[in-house]
Amino acid sequence: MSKYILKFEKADSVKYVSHLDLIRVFDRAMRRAQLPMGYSQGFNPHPLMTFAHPLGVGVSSIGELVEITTAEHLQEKEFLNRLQEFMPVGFKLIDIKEIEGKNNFARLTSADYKINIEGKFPESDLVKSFNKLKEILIDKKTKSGIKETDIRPFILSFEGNMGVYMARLKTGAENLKPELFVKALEKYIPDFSPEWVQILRVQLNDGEGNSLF
Amino acid sequence: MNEYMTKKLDSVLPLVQKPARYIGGELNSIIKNADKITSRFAFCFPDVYEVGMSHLGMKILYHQLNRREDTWVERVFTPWDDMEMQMKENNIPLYGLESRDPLKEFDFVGFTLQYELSYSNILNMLKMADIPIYSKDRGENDPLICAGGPCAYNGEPIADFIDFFLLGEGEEIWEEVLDAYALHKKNGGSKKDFLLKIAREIQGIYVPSFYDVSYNNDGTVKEISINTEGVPEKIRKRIIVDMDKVYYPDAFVVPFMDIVHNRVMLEIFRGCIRGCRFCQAGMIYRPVREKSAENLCLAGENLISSTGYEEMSLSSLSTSDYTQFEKLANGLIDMAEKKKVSLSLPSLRIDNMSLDILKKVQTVRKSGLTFAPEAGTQRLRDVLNKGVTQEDILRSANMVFCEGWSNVKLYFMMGLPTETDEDIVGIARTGYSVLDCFKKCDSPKKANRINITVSVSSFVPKPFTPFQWEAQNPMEELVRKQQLLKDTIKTRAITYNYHMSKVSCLEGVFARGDRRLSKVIELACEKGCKFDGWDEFFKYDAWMEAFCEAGLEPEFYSRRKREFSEVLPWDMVDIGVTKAFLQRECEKAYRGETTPNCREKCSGCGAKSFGGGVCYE
Ligand code: SF4
Repeated sequence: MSKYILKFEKADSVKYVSHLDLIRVFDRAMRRAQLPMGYSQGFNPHPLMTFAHPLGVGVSSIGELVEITTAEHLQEKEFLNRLQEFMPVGFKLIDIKEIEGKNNFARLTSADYKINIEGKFPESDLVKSFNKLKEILIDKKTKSGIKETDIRPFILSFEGNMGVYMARLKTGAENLKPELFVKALEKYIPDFSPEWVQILRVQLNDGEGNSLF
Repeated sequence: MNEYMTKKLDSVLPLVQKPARYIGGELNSIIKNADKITSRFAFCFPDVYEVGMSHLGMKILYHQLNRREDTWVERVFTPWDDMEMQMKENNIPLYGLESRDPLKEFDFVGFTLQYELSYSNILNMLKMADIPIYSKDRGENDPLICAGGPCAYNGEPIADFIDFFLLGEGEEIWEEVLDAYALHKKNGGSKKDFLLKIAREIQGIYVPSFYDVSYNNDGTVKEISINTEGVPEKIRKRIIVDMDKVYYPDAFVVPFMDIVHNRVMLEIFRGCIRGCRFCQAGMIYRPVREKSAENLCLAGENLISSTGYEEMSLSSLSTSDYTQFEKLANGLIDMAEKKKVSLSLPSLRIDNMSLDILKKVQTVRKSGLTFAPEAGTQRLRDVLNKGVTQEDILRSANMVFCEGWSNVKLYFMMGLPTETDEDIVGIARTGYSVLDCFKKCDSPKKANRINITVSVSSFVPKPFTPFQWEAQNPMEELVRKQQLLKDTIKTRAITYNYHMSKVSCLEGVFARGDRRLSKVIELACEKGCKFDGWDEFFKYDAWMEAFCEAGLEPEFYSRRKREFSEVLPWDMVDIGVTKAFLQRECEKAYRGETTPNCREKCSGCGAKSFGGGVCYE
């Protein structure tokens, strides 16, 4: 068995393909490509495949990561090119590397998002006023149900202007979804009402802010 | 892809459940340049994506007709009500999944009629597409609205909405319609010219507006007459005579999300040799025509390669009646092993097949065995012409108990012609004798526990069956019988399932309905009726109000026993099987006489006139 991490893009309509459905998409592409997918043992074998920090439905990405275990060793570039041929439109494989070990995604603790917004904006600097806030309370899903939570610690950085913004948010066990981040903006910034929002995940980072690729 | 619609959709899709239903772009879906297309065809399945995408007929026609350079077939399903609301609020018209262009821009909008309970969805979809629902109100620039599928054999309840019906199997007739349309577009002419041409020249085309229906004082049909010269008095269904020559797709659209039947499906034959008297499919698809095992194995392998599916299943009315079953099953089992694919074989009668094959099939291992005795006593089974005896069931049950299986499902119907309480109690007795059989089994492999499920549905008389003249049981009677059966089953080993629903009353009305029901459907749709096959949507009271306002009684259609001499609303349709045969079968049913299956002895049903299939084996 060999392990690889692939970086891929989820563009256009396939951003509506849910995390659960992604497993099927990759498994079937591996089958069509006749690449030796690794499967778990047992009565109901499932493909050995893990995705890093699931994206919400409707969020696109140019920095998704999947770890695939194959039954045989493969040449990295050949694997990537062969699989790409059999992926549905909208999924672009960007990079690949062979890895070892377990829980390779655990050290990825933040994600960068590019957020495009159309709608009504305030006169004042939205980013400045938001960054000044000491506490940002918002209803958030937690293990014990929906609770009002201070999400300030989950926002690592936020910058931009004119409806185009970059945000670095925590991900992993303690995480903030970008959709919720936009909700918080809406709640705390007066005279701001977004009508059309597009979110793109750019990359996942480790504790030092470095990405795997 | 339509950019304007895409942007609009981006604002609503994050707000609805399962947005993958509405995006298209799945593997093997087909994108073309709309500017170069003569016929744009929106193939509509009037139910939600997961259901419609599981339908084999749609897959076949989609891939077949998209081979034509002049045609682009797109898929359309009924948006779930959350999406419907969003579309209404944001002025998004119903669109084709491939191009995202509004339905109004298409040449054909075609509905497949798989069950009567989808009629309200058809109207709702036309409304969402901003297309006038009545044929008479549509102009030259509106698409042609057409319909096919099993319910089209009596499409009368929706006759006022549909420009033309296609009767029978679609592969050849659609090619002819599209050829005619290309010519029509080149030469010019009105919609009516086109309809007249196809009605006159293409077998299987039924244009309801070319036929008038008059009624007697008691509400029965007096006469069905032609009002336009040259259209056929009787419209004869179409079939594919040689199943080995007909197109079968080498790719299926593979959905992103999970759907009801998410696998490769191989159609092994059409029709059924058995002739159960309640079964419409068994009559309308006659005669039986098989595909060869070699072709099927090849098709299976191709489809697995092109889709990447991990599961494959066979499709037919009665899998084990396939004459080359052993050969096919062994071929597929080998291939499945090689390709790491699991195989499921539905509707098996285990009495006539080898246990060896059964053991190799994964889904059987998981879900257990299924029998459909349909009735609880031999007498009533003979009335139905259901060629299963109690001994058959027990012999098979014993066989599988010895192998360690522990799940058995038994399917029955209630409200059948000539049924008495004895027959109802007989359902419970059948369950108990299977239980006894388990107790007596002394194989070392026998399971510790047994699970017998008895599932009962209510019988709905269907047109083109020997029971087409029968009355449906009133609701109160079904409730009483249901209680009786419940009281008779006193063991935990038997689980009793009864889906008691008012829905089957409605199904009964539309199955044998006439044109006057179009008004009822229109009114019900205005009252918000939709997805009637889904319990959470079904509005019985609204439907009853609609009947009342239209001045029609549902009981007239469902609960009335017809005379053999009555003119039936679907008498202008010729399915090959003759009315005389159906009447003969009905009379035999009353006498409790059975009819041999097509392979034992031909009973002269009339389907031989198509010149192929089992009639000439
Ligand atoms: S004509 Fe005879 S063999 Fe052919 S379908 Fe009818 S009963 Fe069966």
